[in-house]
Amino acid sequence: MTIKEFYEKIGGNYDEVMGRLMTEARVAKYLKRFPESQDYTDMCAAIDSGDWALAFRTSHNIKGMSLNLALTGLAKSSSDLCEYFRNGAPAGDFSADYAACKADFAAVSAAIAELD
Amino acid sequence: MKPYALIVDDVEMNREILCIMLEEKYTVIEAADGDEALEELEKHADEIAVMLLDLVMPKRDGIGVLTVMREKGWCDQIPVLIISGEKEPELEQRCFNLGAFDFIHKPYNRFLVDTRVDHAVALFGYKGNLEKRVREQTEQLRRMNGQIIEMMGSIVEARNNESGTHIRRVKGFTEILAKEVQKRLPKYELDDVTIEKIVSASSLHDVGKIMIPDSILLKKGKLTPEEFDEMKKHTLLGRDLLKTAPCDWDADFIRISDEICHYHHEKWDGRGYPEGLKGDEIPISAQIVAVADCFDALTTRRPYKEPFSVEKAYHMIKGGECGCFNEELMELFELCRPEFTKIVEEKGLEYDD
Repeated sequence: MTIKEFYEKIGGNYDEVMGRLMTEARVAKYLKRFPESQDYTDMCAAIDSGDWALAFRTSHNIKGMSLNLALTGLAKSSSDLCEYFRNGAPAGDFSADYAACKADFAAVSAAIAELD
Repeated sequence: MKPYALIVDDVEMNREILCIMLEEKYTVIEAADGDEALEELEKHADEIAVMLLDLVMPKRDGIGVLTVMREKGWCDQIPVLIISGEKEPELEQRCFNLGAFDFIHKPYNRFLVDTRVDHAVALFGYKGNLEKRVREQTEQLRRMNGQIIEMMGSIVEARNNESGTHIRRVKGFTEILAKEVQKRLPKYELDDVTIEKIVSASSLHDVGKIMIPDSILLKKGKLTPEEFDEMKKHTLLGRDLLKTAPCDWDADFIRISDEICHYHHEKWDGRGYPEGLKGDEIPISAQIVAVADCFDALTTRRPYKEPFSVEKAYHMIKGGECGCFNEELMELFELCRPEFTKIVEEKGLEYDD
């Protein structure tokens, strides 16, 4: 799968990321690092253990990386999730947004695995 | 040599993307959290032209970094551009209140980052140059002010046939003695700024003589008691003249000039004039200038006498032949002998012709 096809598949913004990173080689380099993101692992562990400060910081980082890589869907779901933890213990039931974020991350990771 | 840009973000990918955007024009330094950023600032603050700062970071966050930077005055030196996905207006305002220069929202727009970084660097460079020019001009004005005051004193002295070298010598002796007082008599609380004002104001110690009639001021022989009483008035006349001083003059300088004019003929034992002040009732500024003026008078030629040697002048002053001075000041006067001698022997300043 080419980079352009990847962005079409996951609903991201190819033109935006190319404007930012200039070359497909760079985009590919950062995409391939993404599934191994320590922030995702740490976020899930933090939510499981109730470490809300860490949950906020890690979900916020995922949002930032997703925005920079123009992964539109994951950027939104991680942003929505992040807001639950901004002030510590979550305000409300975040399970649906957590599930959405995990699903988006899984979809992105699966598509990255298919890159040329 | 490329200017330095400090990029602070805990996400490696974010730092790399910004590096790519900036590395053509800047040498990039990276920090992965707030504490590392402060370490880099301690090392390179004078070299860093711009800083890009994330807000949400482990250990010390971006707000924490800005707070320290403001305390240390680094925000006045280095433009800080916040790079964050946060969008709350209150948070942006807080960053600006702490001294941030700009706020760039993630995701990064290459053109915006490039342009706004360049603008920040150019504006701070311009501001820095402007501040340098203002400092240089302020210093120049300060020097000119000092020279004008010295000239005023010299004009007055010229009337009774003394040249401008008298004023310069008195200033020199005053400065040397004042610095010893600063070092060894802390009770007088003389700091560098006050010493500079005392030295400058010493030029005006005899400004009141401009109001003394020629018949008395220029008399070659000994003055009668009545004539001496008239001459003594130059202290009060000088004080009155200074009341008409330009109101732009520093209030502290006017006070010191007033002290010196008014009291430089007072004596430690109360037998001086015009007020008969005793001991430390006499302001230290006037005590110092009194010694300087007396020493200069003894070691220079006058219409009525040849100059005395440094040794004789010291002997006369310390022996009380010129009136009673502060004993502690006399000890410092002795310590200043080598430097006082240098001024006396300096070419072009040894005689009043």
